[in-house]
Amino acid sequence: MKAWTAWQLGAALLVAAVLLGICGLAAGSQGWSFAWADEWWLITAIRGPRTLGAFLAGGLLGLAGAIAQGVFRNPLADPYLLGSASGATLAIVLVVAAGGLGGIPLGLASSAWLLRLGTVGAAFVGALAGVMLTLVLSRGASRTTVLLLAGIVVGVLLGAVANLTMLFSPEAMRSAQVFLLGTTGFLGWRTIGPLLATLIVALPIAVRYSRVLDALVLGESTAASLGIAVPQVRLLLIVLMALCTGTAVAETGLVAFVGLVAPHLVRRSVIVTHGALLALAALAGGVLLLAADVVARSVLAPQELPVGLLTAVVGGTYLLVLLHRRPPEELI
Amino acid sequence: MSTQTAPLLASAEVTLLRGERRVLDSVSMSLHGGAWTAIVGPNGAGKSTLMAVLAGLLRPMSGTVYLAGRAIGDWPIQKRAQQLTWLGQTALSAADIAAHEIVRLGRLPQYGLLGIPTSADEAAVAAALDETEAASFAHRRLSELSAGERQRVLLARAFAAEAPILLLDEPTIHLDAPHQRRLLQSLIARARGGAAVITVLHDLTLALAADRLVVLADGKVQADGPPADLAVRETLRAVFDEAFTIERLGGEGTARWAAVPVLC
Repeated sequence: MKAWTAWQLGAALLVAAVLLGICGLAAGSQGWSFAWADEWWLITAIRGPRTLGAFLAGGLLGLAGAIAQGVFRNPLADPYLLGSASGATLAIVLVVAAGGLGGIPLGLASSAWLLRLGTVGAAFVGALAGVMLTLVLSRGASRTTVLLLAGIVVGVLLGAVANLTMLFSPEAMRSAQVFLLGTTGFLGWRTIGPLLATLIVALPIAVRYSRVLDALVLGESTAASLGIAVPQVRLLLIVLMALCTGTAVAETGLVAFVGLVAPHLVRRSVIVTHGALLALAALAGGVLLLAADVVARSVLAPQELPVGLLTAVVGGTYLLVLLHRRPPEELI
Repeated sequence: MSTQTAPLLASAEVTLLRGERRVLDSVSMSLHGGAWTAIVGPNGAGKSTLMAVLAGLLRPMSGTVYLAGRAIGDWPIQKRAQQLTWLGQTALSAADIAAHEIVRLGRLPQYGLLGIPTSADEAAVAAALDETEAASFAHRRLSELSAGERQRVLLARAFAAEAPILLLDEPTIHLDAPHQRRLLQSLIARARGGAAVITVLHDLTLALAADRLVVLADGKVQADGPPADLAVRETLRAVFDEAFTIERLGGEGTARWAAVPVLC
């Protein structure tokens, strides 16, 4: 089979995004409907922002995943490495538990959007704080192995504190559950701004520095021998990855596998350098989460599936297929 | 030693420890343009470490490496990369990237991290791919190539830089005989063109074709001189436990040397 070009794949993904976007506008709690004039309010107030938000959040995860896999030279790396997932989880749990102590029923399912804003902010700050803690423990980004180990340590420690908190506050546990599963149900117009802004800032910067990721294919020493200040650029890319992940996680919780699978899909279909890979992985991630959102809304309507459940099942299956198709050494 | 020109690359009393072990023990050498130097020695002699130190990638605990007379650590890293190309024995990550893009990375010191390759860069890439006969598979993924083809791509990457100093660690690895020969011809041509070519070679017969041998063992330079020097050849046999004899081939003036394993 002749390999696709990057432009062809990009166009195909865009078409898929538009088609899925139309499905997203049509999928409601009463099944699919294309009588858009009658449902104009539903579309502009609920389905529209949710569809767009799912696309953007998926794009951020796809971009973060592509950066992670390039920086760590490992196709199994994902955006939640380095403590962003555990940091965000702990922050959510703490905020909800504190709200419970103060007698305010907070939580992701809370209808009061002001309180919801609190948990979104907490998740964002938590994700970034988790990564920063990892960077502090590993004393910068000069040694990859130390960095990954520090990420594991942070994950275990913050996870332990979150678990302890949930032991004392069952209410926090319920909220954390929604968060851990990942959901596109809270995406509204308010969320579009931060998601879009992060993507617009992070994608061009990441693409601009993508040659470092190309050079890292040859190893860190070779990249350094080519005149690249590897630790500094790696730090920049990790910060971008943390920003993308933090923003996406704050709005959708821990949606599994999108960030891991999107770069794989791109790499399998086209031969590209990391510049195109980052852009296409963002697009692919957006398409994936958008598709998952549409399915999550429509299969059991009026009931809704948590979108993270879908991405986990589909992504996990895909990875399993990949494992058996490729010689094992290529996955290490 | 040489007073007329400063060496392109020199190490002065370079020492490097790993734990208690002296991987490099006060290594001093000067490398001038116009010569091909082969560093040889048994496993664990410190050859690859020395190459990385000479390339400025590893900092010695004492001693200094001088690039064109100036301490290598004082060079801005992009300027350093323009002077010096290093090809090490590194593990590639899952390399789904096209081979010609790898070669293009060799020009990165010229066009810079945020720059765009010029037509001169593209010409150097094409020439390097031709030189290692890698052009026919340059558009395939690196991960789809055989080990030998991949090595030719990595060599093309090193040649594309057109740097005056070439540090190649095991450049003949995975290459078949015709490509080994072609590589040696390229190295000799580059040395004759004024470059300082430094290689680590395990194949001693290939190494004995170099202009100069540096015999390294236990982190120390045991001998340093042309292969025609009997003392250098004897030291070479000694550090390898007399596992081979060195035979002279060809006549006066065109003498060549071959390492023949001792089997009894």
